[in-house]
Amino acid sequence: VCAGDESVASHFALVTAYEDIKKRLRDTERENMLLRKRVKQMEDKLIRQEAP
Amino acid sequence: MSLYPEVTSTGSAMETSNFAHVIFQNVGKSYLPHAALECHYTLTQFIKPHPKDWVGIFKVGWSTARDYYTFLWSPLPESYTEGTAVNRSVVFQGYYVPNDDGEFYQFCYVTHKGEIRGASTPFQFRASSPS
Repeated sequence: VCAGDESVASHFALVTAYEDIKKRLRDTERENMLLRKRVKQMEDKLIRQEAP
Repeated sequence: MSLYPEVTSTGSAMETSNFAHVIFQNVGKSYLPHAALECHYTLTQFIKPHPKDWVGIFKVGWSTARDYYTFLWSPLPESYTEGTAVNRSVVFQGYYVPNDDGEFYQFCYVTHKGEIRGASTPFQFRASSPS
């Protein structure tokens, strides 16, 4: 096997991993945003309950 | 496995390449450290398996086939007809798999000649997985 093939294979494997991790980052950021919103809603609800 | 036009410098080489001759199935986003890890994969009709082919766990960003973290010989199918696809699996024992180290790993299928014929999506080893 020539060195060129191996470096192309290594590049290919890295791209495979990169694209997948990028997609996971997007998903995680979306979930992060939803959780932030949810916490905010719950805080608001608590404050309303505590106020006389 | 998809190919990405953003990396067009080697894009055409990739499309006609041998890197997707072995497809890893149901790869998790994370696995428990120090627990047996089952790896399932399909040898497509384009690859002729050899008893010295192997499956390695590699840290993402590896540069040569010698950079494997651990490996297992890929078992030959009992009855194999050339030109057919077969499903195979190997089990990495817990004491050979990486620790919870924050790194990403992937499986790669390497032939007896040292050619990479398949790479999986990445995964981590985590003591508890959030999803």
